[in-house]
Amino acid sequence: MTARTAIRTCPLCEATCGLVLTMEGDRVLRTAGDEDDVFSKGFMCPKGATLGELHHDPDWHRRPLIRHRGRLVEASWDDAFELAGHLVRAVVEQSGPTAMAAYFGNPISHNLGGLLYAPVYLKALGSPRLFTASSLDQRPKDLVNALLYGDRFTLAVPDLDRTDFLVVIGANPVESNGSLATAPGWPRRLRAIRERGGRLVVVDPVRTRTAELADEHIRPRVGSDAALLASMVSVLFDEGLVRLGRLGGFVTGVERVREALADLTPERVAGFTGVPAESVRDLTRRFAAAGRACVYGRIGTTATEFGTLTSWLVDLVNILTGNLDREGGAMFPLPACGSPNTRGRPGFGPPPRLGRFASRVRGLPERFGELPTSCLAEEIDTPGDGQLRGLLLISGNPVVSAPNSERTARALASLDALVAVDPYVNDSTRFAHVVLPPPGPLQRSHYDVHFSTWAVRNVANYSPAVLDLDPRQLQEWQIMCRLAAAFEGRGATEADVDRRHAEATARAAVADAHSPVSGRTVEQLLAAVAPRVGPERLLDLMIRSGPYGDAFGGRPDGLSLATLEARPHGVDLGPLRPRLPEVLRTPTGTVALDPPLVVDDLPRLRAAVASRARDGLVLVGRRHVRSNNSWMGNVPSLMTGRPRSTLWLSPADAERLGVGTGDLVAVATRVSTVHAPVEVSERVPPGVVSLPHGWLHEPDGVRLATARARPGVNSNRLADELVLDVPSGNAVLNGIPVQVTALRPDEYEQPVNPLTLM
Amino acid sequence: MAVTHVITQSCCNDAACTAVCPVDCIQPAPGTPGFAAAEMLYIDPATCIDCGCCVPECPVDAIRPDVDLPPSLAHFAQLNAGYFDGRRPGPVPPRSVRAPSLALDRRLRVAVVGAGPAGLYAALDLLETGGSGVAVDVYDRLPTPGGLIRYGVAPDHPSTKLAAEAFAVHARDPGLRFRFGVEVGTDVTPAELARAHDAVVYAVGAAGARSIGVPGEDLPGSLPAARFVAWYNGHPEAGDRDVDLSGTRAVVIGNGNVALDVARVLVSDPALLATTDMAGHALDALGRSRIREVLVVGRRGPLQAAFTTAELTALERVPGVDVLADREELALTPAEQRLLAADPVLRARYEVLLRLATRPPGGPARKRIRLRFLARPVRVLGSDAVTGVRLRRQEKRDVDGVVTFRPAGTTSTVGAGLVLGSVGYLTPPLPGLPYDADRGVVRNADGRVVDGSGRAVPGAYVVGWAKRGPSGVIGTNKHCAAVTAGHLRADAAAGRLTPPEEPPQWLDALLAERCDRLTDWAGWRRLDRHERAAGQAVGRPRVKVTSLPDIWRIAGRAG
Ligand SMILES: Cc1cc2nc3c(=O)[nH]c(=O)nc-3n(C[C@H](O)[C@H](O)[C@H](O)COP(=O)(O)OP(=O)(O)OC[C@H]3O[C@@H](n4cnc5c(N)ncnc54)[C@H](O)[C@@H]3O)c2cc1C
Ligand SMILES: NC(=O)c1ccc[n+]([C@@H]2O[C@H](COP(=O)([O-])OP(=O)(O)OC[C@H]3O[C@@H](n4cnc5c(N)ncnc54)[C@H](OP(=O)(O)O)[C@@H]3O)[C@@H](O)[C@H]2O)c1
Ligand code: SF4
Ligand code: SF4
Ligand code: SF4
Repeated sequence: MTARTAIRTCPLCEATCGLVLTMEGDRVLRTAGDEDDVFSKGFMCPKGATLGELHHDPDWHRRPLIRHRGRLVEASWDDAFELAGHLVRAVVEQSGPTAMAAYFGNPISHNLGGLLYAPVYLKALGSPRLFTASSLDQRPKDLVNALLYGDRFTLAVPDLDRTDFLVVIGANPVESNGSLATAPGWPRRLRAIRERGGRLVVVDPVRTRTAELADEHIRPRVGSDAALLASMVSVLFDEGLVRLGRLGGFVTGVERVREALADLTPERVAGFTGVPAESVRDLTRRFAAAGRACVYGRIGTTATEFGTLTSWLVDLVNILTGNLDREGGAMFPLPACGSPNTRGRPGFGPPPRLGRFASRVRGLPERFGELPTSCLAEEIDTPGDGQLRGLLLISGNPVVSAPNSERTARALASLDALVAVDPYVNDSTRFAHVVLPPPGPLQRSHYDVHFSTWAVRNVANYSPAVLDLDPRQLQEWQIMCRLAAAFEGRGATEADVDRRHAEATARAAVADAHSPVSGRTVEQLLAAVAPRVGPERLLDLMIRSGPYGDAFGGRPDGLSLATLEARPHGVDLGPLRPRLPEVLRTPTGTVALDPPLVVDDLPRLRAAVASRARDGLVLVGRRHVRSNNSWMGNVPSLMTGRPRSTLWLSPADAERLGVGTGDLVAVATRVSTVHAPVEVSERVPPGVVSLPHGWLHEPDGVRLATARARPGVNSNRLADELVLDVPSGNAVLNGIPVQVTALRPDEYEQPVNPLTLM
Repeated sequence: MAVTHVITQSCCNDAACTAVCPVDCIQPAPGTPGFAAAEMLYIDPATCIDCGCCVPECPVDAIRPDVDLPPSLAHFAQLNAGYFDGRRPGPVPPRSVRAPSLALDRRLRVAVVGAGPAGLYAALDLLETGGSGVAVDVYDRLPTPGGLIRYGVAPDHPSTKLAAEAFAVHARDPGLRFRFGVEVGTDVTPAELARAHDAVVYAVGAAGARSIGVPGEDLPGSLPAARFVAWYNGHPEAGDRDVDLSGTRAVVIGNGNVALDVARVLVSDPALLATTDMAGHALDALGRSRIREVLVVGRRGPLQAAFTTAELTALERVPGVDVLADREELALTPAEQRLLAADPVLRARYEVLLRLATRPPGGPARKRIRLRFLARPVRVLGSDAVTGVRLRRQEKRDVDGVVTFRPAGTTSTVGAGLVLGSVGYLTPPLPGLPYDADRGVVRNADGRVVDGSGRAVPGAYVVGWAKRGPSGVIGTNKHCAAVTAGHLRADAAAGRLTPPEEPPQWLDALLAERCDRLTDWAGWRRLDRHERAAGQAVGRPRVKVTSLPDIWRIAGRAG
């Protein structure tokens, strides 16, 4: 057999790297970064390099599974959809649509079909309760985006390739490859800042690999980022460094911000942050003077006690120094497939959907139609009117990724209907009644509808599937259309549902008075994209009616899906350009810097600052370049080597506890106790311990041979579902107070398997 | 702008890195033809994706991003790239992780004799594959684990000594127990050990030294390099009596890496050695040494030299020392030219030697190492003490396309006050265990101990230098141990192991009675902490305790 080459975008993380796969038959012989990719220019990470291994994972199911006599067994698609429809309709008929919920995991946003077809089954379900991984992750940023700019996805990303001064706070893109800022090759781009004479400052209690690349590493106490950033803002005002520049015409509330933060000076918060006041002043001055500067914050700023405040303050520092929407600062991408900030009236939009209803048990307010995932388990396990009885699990593993794993597991096990679209039988889907596996990563086409809206350069890149489906597999969009039909129970076909969905998409486009296709008819648009079906039809509609589209003849040299198909290395649409004020979708057409929902949370921060730092140990998460949230632990090439699921302990804390590397310790919170092997590391300061998240651990029923051979400790077993970032309802997964005690060998709960490697 | 990673001097070939490299650009990988003979491993700069995953896996801190290479290691970038010589790697082989696979109806009890690299690798391999179905007791006659990592590896190779830490990570495995202070063959017989275990793995290394086999070798001032190494590394049995360093020249016979180690130590600046963990008595003696020149004498040519390229380049960089070679001795036969053309690593090494041969000698203030080739020792000269060595020149020529060596007529005499025979270590016979006197190893067939007629001794295995002979680096023993452990597992699965006749308490009681000193991992940790604390006080990694009574006092008895 002869080798051939396939080019495609890696679908695994936000970085969207171009890959070149050398194939023989359906096997991948070798994977390399695509040097010709317009965006990634040859970069890839270990996960992309082993995409073929993921595709061929023997535990990746190719046929549906249904629960039969308590066990998940293979079934036909017809039987699986019938059972799913039956179970779900029973719940809805008995207790109404709000007894059904849907949970979306992170991979759906990397998945063209999965993302574009989510609305069809949500609609078919009536109005299910919606939970997503966003409230375990970036909800504070969503909230701030919506309040400041009018849409939760209107995110100002660091203009990484042109900035001269980047402050990275609570982010480790060298391991994570970046998030909420799509940039393939973060390590290279960060090094390039320094190579062109710019400055890289990393603010993180932990000495991460990103911190090692930096000119400066500032190590505040865990959980004090909001206070640190607030003190930077107070310095900007105090020392007359506020320079709004052209932003002055678009922002309001500057004075209120000054008043609100005036007391949080570096001197006042130094005891809480642990960062000397003078170094905060110095950093702020240099940042303000840099010209093209940007603060970029990530998970260490969001999944924390003051996530919303911190996210807001990141934007404030950028705005008040005039760095928002300017080259080398924080800028708004303009994606080829369009986004909420390219549709409708430029500059204006309705107020964000916030707090229109509340969760039943704790009364937590909804955000953008979603409830906090931290209350998923209680909504299921608390009896009473409106109790959740059914759950649709779309590429999600909340047992591993939500706080209080044990409670979540018990809750899922008790459901009347649990339908999962997932390739794996994992810690969550093992409780499912129906598991509907999507095709493998090489059998799907790819376009980053979502992440192109957060990319640090405007690019468009479409990849066709590399391999055909096996005869008995379905594409994800087909699964979703058939699922919708099953929920409706009215005998619609896959094609019916798909056509309706395409019509709705076209209708929205022609109805938008500001769209280049305004005034055309749905029929005209659909005829133009024929004979495409499925996600390609939708994508073609979106691109052609999008900001760079051919507008169906209106702009003859504009883009269409066909253009992208002819350019496998992607189409470069250039560096980010200023977009204010058209990017806004706020009721006033301006950026109000002082949203009450956020400002009203300041007393909570003040109280924390006044109480000074806590004693005892706090737990932070940890990211590794070979992992990807909860779900790549079954790829052998990513699981060889030293154990990674270890508790990092500073030498001083290790000495105090009388333990060394290799010893087992018990780590306890209100919620649970886990046993973890110690790795003494100077990367964490005294008082801070670190465990990676996303490890799979339950032996019962999980069908992941490799992951189970390399078990690990899941930090979310320790996270408390009752502790939240108040305004956003986001879980607090970083900065959890823990007790750590040494175990004697006879107390070890299981032999520590020194699984090294082959 | 692309960055790559580079493997440097301390690589010990354990291939921990290859298992995690997502693009398989670290070569030669285990299972490929070149692996067994490789001097070290190399990273293909054209394929490396700069992910850094290999870095924390390396037990000896050998891997660096090329942008962070210190000047002393900068040449390794070229050495890594040169190995690939334009070749691109093939398909990435499939990988799997090992899960405990041994399923027996009883818990297997295994003794490992020797806590050097081979014994520790064997113990970990058995625990990894056996899970909770295996219990391993590791015995060593010394209260210190690591074998030659502590008492062989040169003090100025601190990264290599980190290999011991990689083992320490696993020392708290509940299936693993350490019994330090038990000399098998003396305190307890192999037969007694066998009675209390399903299997015994011998990992006793090579405590002795081969002799050069020339008259005069036993004169005062002539000693095996092995003894000199043990002396400067503070082996408690090497004693602290001084080695006579009053002459101005030393001759080292043999040109393996041990020869380079001792040569380097002999001419290194004492102030630099004082920042290492070298034994105090050796530091004192070397501080007073008058040695200015060391001859390293190989009996064959430059291409056959036993030292590795990495160690040769390290030698070249010792501050204040000129390393010289003789141009004439570097001439090559046509067969050797072909060999050179085919082997980029050999080429790199030869280029270093050529450079040494053409470099102008530095001033008289500088010390010197002379690499001599094609010279075999015929006699160590002197009456009461060493005064020199007589060498005979060797000739080489191609016979049927293969280079061959034979003695030539000419002899020469080199004056020297110290002669170190660095011609290999030797495993002494262990009472009660079959011995292969020809090879100087425990008699074995691929790791199964066999008797004189080739029949396997049930439940007896051997690993490391005691199995293969005294060659190979630390990581070589990992693969060697894996092979032996595989045989052990196969024998267990096939029912070829006899269950222990006696319970563990029987052996415990026996040892308690016979060994007046007995300690465990906690005891070693006490000693370790003591040594490190003492080192910290004076800016050294550790100050080794070298007298047995002191060691025992600090380590204390097993709890
Ligand atoms: C001078 C020197 C320098 C070296 N430098 C390097 C280097 O830089 N890098 C590298 O990779 N490799 C180096 N090596 C090679 C490396 O040290 C060996 O490959 C390795 O140590 C061999 O392992 P082993 O376990 O077989 O033997 P050893 O390390 O010798 O261990 C044997 C152990 O068995 C114990 N023992 C012996 N007899 C008994 C008994 N009867 N009862 C109980 N216990 C017993 C001993 O006390 C010892 O602890 C060097 C070797 C030497 C000699
Ligand atoms: N990486 C490191 O830093 C390091 C350091 C030390 C040791 N080690 C390893 O440890 C192992 C042992 O090293 P080693 O130096 O003891 O052994 P070695 O590499 O086997 O070298 C032995 C040397 O002695 C010579 N020799 C043998 N018999 C002789 C005789 N009768 N007369 C003259 N010369 C004779 C050999 O020459 P012939 O080749 O002609 O037989 C050879 O040069 C090696 O694998 C080595 O790589 C590694
Ligand atoms: S960085 Fe992300 S997109 Fe790039 S190869 Fe890795 S997983 Fe794929
Ligand atoms: S840096 Fe990554 S790609 Fe390069 S050799 Fe190491 S593991 Fe392989
Ligand atoms: S010592 Fe081992 S892990 Fe380190 S570079 Fe060499 S083979 Fe790789």
